[in-house]
Amino acid sequence: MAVADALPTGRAIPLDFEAVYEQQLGFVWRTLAAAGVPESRLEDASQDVFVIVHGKLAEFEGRSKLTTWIYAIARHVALDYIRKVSRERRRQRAFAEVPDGEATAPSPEEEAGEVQARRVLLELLERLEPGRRDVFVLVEIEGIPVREVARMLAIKENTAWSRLRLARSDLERHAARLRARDGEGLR
Amino acid sequence: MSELSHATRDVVTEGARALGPSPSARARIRAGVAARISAAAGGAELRPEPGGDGAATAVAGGSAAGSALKVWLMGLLAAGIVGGVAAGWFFGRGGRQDGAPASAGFEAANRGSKPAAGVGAGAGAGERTGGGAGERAGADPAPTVSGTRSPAGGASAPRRTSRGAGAGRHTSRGGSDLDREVAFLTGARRALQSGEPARALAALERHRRELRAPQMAREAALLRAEALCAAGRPREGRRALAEADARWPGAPGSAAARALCGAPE
Repeated sequence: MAVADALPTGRAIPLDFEAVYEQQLGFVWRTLAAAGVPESRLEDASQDVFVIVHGKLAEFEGRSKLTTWIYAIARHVALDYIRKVSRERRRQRAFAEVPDGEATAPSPEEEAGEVQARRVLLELLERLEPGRRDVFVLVEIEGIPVREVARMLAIKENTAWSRLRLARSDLERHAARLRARDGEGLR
Repeated sequence: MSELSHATRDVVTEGARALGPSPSARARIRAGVAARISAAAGGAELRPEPGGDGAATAVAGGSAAGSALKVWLMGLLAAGIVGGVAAGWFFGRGGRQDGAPASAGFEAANRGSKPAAGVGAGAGAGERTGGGAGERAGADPAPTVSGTRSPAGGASAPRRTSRGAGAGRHTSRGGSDLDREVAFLTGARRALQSGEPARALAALERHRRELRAPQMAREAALLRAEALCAAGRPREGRRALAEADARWPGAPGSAAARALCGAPE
């Protein structure tokens, strides 16, 4: 499981953008995806995040972990995209002759197991309450300790634990439903 | 603390493994970021003044420098509005290309080149700011999230996201008609690239209404066709395209607009 490594706080040397990019792209991508940015927009959104990171990197003082800082950027970008997609979908519904690009039939590639696995996970995550989902993704997918996640989300550690517990419980329930519905999609 | 069942954990593990960007997506993102950083570093001519609109500010001066910039912008518009918008749309719809010069921007970034204002720099009054997690946590301030999308090939600074596309509002303080025309079309192009065709259409409508003798009517017509299609009005877009074709047969950029609108060759 890829872990979004954070550089140590209180750094003394300037951060190298390329190194940051290489280190954080996967984390940014997963953060955007888990937040609900459609797959078709993930590349654009990732670009946006790193353009912002580049613009602000010199101002990053190392008072927080790099992961925390980038997470905040990614969340803002994700919200932007989600709003934009929502507007576009409303518009598309108003003009029925335009097909919904996000709801096209699956391509042969999409039938592949990897894509299926991704879809299932995203579908499950989408059903979680956002606050719980954030904690779940950071802990269970990114492997970040709960204490650090609490700092990232500016919540109490106990709250983070509580959300994690609820998210796990919700996810189990949703997964059970999905198994009942799809059977083969989930073991 | 309840734990996930083995079955559900497997689902999460497998899904997470598949969740990262593919190698080709990595390459495209890298190329796109590099191009945009390079464009921002070299495209400072469109630097927005505080509280102002970048394009409008750039063209509103009327000074000698402004004249030189106007020539530059005209070139940009000639090559950018017709082709760039089409390419921007192409990119915006997920059809990005591999192989863009990825290294230049990254090298510039690592040399510490400063991006143009607006590249997440939070300089403009119209930019969104976020009291994000980092800030709330008393850590590094959550960065300002501002304009983020730039045209393919990095022809200009990244977009601003929260200002209207009616760039002419700022230029009406004294710019010439050509200045205003450039500003309107630049605003429309940026709005289109940032996925806001309604704003693009509004800017183009002002261009149509407020300019008696537009010198860039062809570019405006093609932009309008694309904006209509982007707004989910393909019939109107194709009609606008047909009108532009009739008026300027074989105009540069019309093929791209036709492809975007799904109009016949």
